[in-house]
Amino acid sequence: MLRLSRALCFIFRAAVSNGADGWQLKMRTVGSLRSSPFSESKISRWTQFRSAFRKSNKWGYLFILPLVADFLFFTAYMVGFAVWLSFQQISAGNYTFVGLQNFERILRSPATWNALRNTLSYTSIVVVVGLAIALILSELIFRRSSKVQIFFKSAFYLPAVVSTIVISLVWYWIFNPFYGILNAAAGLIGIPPQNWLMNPNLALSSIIFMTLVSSGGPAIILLTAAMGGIPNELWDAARIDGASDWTRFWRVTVPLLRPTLLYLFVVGFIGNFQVFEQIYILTSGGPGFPGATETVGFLIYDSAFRAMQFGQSAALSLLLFVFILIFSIVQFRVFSSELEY
Amino acid sequence: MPKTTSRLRTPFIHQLRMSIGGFFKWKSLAPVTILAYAILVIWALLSLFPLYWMAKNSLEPAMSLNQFPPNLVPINPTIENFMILIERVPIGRWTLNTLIVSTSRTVGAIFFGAMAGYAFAKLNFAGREIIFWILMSTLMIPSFITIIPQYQVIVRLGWLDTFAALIVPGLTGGVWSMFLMRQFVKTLPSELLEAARIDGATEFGIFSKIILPLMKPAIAVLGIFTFIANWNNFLWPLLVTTSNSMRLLAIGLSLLEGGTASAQAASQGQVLAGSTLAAIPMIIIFLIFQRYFLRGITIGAIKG
Repeated sequence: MLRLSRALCFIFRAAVSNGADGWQLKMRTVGSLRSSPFSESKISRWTQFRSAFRKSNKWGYLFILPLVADFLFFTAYMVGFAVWLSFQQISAGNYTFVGLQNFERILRSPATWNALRNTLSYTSIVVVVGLAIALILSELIFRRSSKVQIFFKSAFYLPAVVSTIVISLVWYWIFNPFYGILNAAAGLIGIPPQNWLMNPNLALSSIIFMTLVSSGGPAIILLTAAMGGIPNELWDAARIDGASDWTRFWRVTVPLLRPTLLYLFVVGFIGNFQVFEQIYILTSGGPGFPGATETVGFLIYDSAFRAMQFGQSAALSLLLFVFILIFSIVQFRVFSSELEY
Repeated sequence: MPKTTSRLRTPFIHQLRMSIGGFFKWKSLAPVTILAYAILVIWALLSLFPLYWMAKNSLEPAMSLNQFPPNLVPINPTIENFMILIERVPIGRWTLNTLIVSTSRTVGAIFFGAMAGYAFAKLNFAGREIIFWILMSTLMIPSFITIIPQYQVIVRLGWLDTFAALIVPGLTGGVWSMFLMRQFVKTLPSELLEAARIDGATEFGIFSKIILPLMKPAIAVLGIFTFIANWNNFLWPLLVTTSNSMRLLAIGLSLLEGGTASAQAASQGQVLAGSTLAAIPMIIIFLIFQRYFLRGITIGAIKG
């Protein structure tokens, strides 16, 4: 867990350090990742801690107290509560211990696997395709004049400051099968009118399309900032060696952007795996049963606050966490092996 | 290659491309450049179109919204959607609620985040590293895990449908704000703090009189992003508010459509009028603080 969080922090730092000296910083953090922050000496940890505590600046504890209190009650305690809840059956306000029954139920339910499948396809497409688009757009605007850059960056970023609820409400009407502009546009290129949100084969793709179009901005900003951190000499060297633009992009830019790309990948994955608002507004998990757009996040909400199955819902949220954890570990493994260059 | 020969040999179409390129201050209007701009413009249109569509449809009377194909520009612009919406739902109250909640949570995140960030960056105390790493590792915990137990606790505290439920959980801005502030404080010279200590300043004095004023750029970034995130926050406020007058904007809007927030389901024009009202403040914030957004989302001003 700690190793994992160190890796997370590393990629956060890598993403953070995207100024002029970003590149060197990234290289430096690669080194510091390997050295453990905890000393491995033979003196017992407790003795070490006591002597360190005596020398401590006690104000430090006071300063972190609000955050730690907030964390202890609203995160640590709540996670424990969720674990406890997942072993309970709640009816009419009475809690009964039912062992692993909730887990058994959710693992047996086709709705869970359907939701996982939907979430996985949603997340992988939104993250991978979204990053590819962001990378291409960043490369396209990076060497333009600063006015052109500001214009396009703003245009790409603007939807991200507006609530997902608002964006989804607009798209609800864009997707409208009778009066929607999307069907009018599709008609122009010869596609017959579609019921974008109520057709089980189309609904998830429609939501993915909406998300891709309206959420690329932040990634583009980070990527262009990271590109600015790459020393010009590297590009010049590549040009002198006779590399084409395409080779230069693929062999110089992309490898050096890897820390930023990885950050966007991990954060995008964790964030999109919890997709909820689009589904809530556009389809409520439908159409059909099990719902064609029902995601894990929506299923958790649905089973807790509509079916009032808090125990099952808590079990489901733990399952979601396990999935996120496994994916983060896998990404970390892949990532740390790539760090060996 | 000398310029004259190249002009002699350049076919007309290339000359035309170059002169157009010169007009736009591009070196040349090479096909690759045209393609690049075409892609950029198409994606920018896709990205901005929904916002335009929202504003445009909010100005259209119901009659012209129920026709196919839809008009691309408003034919008979009217503000009747806004008038009906204001009459029908307490949208002013929703805006006020959202403002109260977002502002107090932003202030909380800045103050407590800066305090903790400063301690983790500059004060030496036993267990600092381990506490920091434990906090960082919780960034992976999905919010869905805490939301269900949190809801039950709020119900038992009797906080349902109060500002306390909307403001208190996560008031300190969480680990993310602390991390941003820590990264910034780390770049400040420690000698400054030493000097203040020798002069006999108290630790809280150092924090409030020296650190906080130096942190203005970081505070601006954190403040803007926390404010927007809270303004747009949805699931938690949806769960803990039950009465029409305690709703936040996004929640109220989401309920318009189903007709839960008013006696009658609202029409497209009314829903989008409400959406426009919710979106405009964020767009204005974006335009005012554009440079903070465009420098590198979270922490453009913060390095290392």
